[in-house]
Amino acid sequence: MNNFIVNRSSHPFNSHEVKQILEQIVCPAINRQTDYDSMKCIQLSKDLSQIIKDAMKLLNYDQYKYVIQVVLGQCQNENLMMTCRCLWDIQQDNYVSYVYSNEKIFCAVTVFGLFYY
Amino acid sequence: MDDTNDTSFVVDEVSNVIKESIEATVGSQSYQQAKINTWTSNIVEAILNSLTKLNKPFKYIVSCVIMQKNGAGLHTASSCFWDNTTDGSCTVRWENKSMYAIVSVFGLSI
Repeated sequence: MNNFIVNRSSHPFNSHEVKQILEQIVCPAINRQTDYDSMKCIQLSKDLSQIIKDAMKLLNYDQYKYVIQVVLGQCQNENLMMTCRCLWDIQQDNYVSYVYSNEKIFCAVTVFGLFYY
Repeated sequence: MDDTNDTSFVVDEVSNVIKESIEATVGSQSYQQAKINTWTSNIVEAILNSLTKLNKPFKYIVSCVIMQKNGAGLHTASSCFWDNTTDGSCTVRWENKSMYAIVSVFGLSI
């Protein structure tokens, strides 16, 4: 008979804490841009994802893998829809999504935390 | 060789799954505000179903962005903290005359 005993994380993913971190990182970064500049935004999106990944590592959640997705765009009255679905462990895995925009740029960040058994 | 195929993320396989799913859902249609919600959900769910059928020991994250073609710029970036030998991602950028679709799939081994 198989007995699949699943570990539980000793320090689980806390959405509220992660959301606060995202606000602290994303808002100043976007507000620092005076206008939408294509070349700067390429670098900014990459930098933001690295900075957020490093911040997640500092949070020290036990046994978690992270995926951070950053979507940066110009505000030009276009319509945009972003959807995601996941196949995961609903008791241990979670995600946090944060959207911030000013008149020129919008930024949508999603952080996924997946438990590693 | 067979072992690595079963337990690592195969980008080509997933890329085909994504392309088929986008073509089947949005194909040659024009951007319609009322349908965009259904389209993104259908694309993502179809991809997740196909990936589940591959029967690999993976957790998946599928994300889809559909944007109207308006001249505006869009950038996406992702960074991951995972096991490089077994985990992987695949991003497909697709467009037609009236919209862009960017679909990302992340596969993390259990």
